[in-house]
Amino acid sequence: MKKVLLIKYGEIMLKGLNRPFFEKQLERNIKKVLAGEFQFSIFKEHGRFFVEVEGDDSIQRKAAEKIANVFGIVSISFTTQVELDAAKIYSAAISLSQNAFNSGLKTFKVETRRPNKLFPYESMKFSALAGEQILNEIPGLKVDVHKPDFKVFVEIRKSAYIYYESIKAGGGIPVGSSGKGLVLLSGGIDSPVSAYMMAKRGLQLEAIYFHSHPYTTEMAKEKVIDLAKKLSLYCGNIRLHIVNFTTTQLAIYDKCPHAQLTIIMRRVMMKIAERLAAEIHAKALVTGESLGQVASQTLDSLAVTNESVSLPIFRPLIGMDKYEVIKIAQDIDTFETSILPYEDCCTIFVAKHPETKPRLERIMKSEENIDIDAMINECMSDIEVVEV
Amino acid sequence: MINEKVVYLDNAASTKPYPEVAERMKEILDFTYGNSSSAHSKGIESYKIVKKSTETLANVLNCHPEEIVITSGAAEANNMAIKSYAFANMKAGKTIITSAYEHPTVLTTVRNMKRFGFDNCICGIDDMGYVKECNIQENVNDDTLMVSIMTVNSETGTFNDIGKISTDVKAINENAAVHTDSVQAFCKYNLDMQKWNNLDMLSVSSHKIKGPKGMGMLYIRKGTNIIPLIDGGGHQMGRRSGTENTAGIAGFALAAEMYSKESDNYFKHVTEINSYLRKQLAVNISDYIINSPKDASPYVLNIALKDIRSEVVLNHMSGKNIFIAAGSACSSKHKGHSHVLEAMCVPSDYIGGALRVSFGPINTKEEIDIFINELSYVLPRFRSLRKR
Repeated sequence: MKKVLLIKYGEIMLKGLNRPFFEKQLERNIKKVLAGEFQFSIFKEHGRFFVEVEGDDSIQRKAAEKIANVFGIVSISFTTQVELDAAKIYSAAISLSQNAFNSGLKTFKVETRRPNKLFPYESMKFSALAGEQILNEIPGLKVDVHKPDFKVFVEIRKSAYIYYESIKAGGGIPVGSSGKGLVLLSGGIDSPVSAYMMAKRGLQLEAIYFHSHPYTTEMAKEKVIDLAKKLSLYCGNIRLHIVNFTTTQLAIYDKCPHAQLTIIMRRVMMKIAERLAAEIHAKALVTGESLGQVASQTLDSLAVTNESVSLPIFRPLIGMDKYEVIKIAQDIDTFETSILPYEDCCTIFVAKHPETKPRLERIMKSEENIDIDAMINECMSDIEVVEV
Repeated sequence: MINEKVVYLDNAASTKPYPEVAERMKEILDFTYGNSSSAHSKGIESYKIVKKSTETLANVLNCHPEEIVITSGAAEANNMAIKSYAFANMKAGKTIITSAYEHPTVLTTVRNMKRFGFDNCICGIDDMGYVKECNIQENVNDDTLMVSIMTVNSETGTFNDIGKISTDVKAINENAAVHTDSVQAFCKYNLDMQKWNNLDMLSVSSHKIKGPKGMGMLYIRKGTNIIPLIDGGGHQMGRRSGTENTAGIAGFALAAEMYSKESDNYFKHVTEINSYLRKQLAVNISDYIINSPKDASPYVLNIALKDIRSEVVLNHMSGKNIFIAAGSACSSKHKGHSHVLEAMCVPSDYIGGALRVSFGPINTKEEIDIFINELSYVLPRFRSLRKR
């Protein structure tokens, strides 16, 4: 009898011939979050991973919580693994049910899955037999097949796995299985959420942050590093590229019409990000833009920003309301950091009345006043890299 | 170019502890770790240090050791002065009078007392930060429970004659208590509790006078009725429970002893540095105003630069190893202007550019030159960037 974590994955099961590719990535990611902190072994049976962690219940739980942050997984169950022997299965089921009963749960049912057809009992029949054994051993516990307080699950594979307790995980597909993207990370609420959402779709992420010292404080930079750390729980290690943007920002400020500052600045940021993406082999940019949220996120503005680069730009928040974004930020624990009062852009560089309907020809005309290629080269030569 | 040398001109925010203080504290942490309430000799050793240190602190204020409550800092001392007194004397009156230039630990506390049924009256200040005498006299009446006015303002250095204010208050209502926040005056001015015999309570902090952080005290004149904020084991004659911080108290007392011994020399020294800075500003800098009156504490000089955002200057200086404050350190992480300067009606094109330069005994004229050089070098650039 062993304690084993049973890991169910969702969307990967729908994959066809390339399912092994996703499974391998998932296995790597699970190993990565446990490595260093836990002694463990991992094995796979059709549609399931099993992780055996050395240590008591509290260590198992800690490991399960870590695994729950790995995208591609839908749930983790705390199972008892026994040989394919009816008596041993009954005994494990009774012991688990006793725990559940002691914690105040009064009604139950048994559900059996039997992928291994060599086991002589049919699923329905075995559920009834196990239920009977449990009832006989635990006076006071009752069966309720419609709305039980807990379900005892029995999975019949090479071994039998019995459990009643599971925790939910984030779903999605494994980070790294969709290639690499570069997220434009600011200190705000939106961009960390967009990073989280794209990681959930399998994107491995590096991040770029534009720093304008002394117009923004060192604390703003620290805040972005903290946000990247929080994201790394879900996204895996993140390489954060901190671009010294001051000279570029001042040149834009000096030479372009004030109402166009933000849009031109964003176009230049996109171009720098695209250059960096090429160097790090990232095939998409990720931003936290949401349609209509601010002047630079109107459809006209987004269209003009979009035109500045040829890489795809992923904007997972585009159709979301602010409160929906905040809800996710709270769930992934980036919200409290994002609302710290260190601005990532000095208000000097924000026009009182920025253009909300910029026209590409006019923006490009204004951009003739600045040497964008030189700006990109200068910024690319002054990047601080922080491994998070 | 970054100065190798650190130019620390933020002594009103915190100071570098005396090496002797750090050594003394380490020695106590290493050897005298007993609980000062324990009956064995290890505890008694600790008790003796606490007793001796409290006597030293009392000596600096020319008061009795029993009139001193050691706290975790001035924030606690200010909270205690207001809450502990108000709750213990609810029948004596309902109104707490304070001024618009108080530290938030007084101003916010007084405002929040409304929740408990107390009224407040916030007296105005003039354009140099002096509390308007007429204001106090007009507002003190039979319903006045207590008056709390800061001795030296932390942002401008304005010195209000709390001795006279307390006498004026008592002349109108002898039952009204008078408290002062003396954080920026302690050890810098001669605070004599025998002379200021109409003052009931006074708060001070340790880390502004080269002592450790996390230490402060509240002077409470004998006969002043208070209830404790922190109940428990009845430490400090039942006025503040919690095991005494032996090393902290000893470090605080040693710093107070050393600072007050040198007080006259320090005062003379910072007066020279302060007037040197005023002269250098006049010669090298244009379009600024001084928000500190001529007879302000020489330890603080508040300058407001026209058409500048103070945090940009602060960030720039920080990158050059020159450390100053925008407004006051406690508020510089927050958006918006200083409440003190707003109350003083500093003009709108100056208030955003307020810098607080605050001196200590180790500052030199050479450091002022470094600061002025840097300021005169960057001002034209920053000014050209004012919001269009």
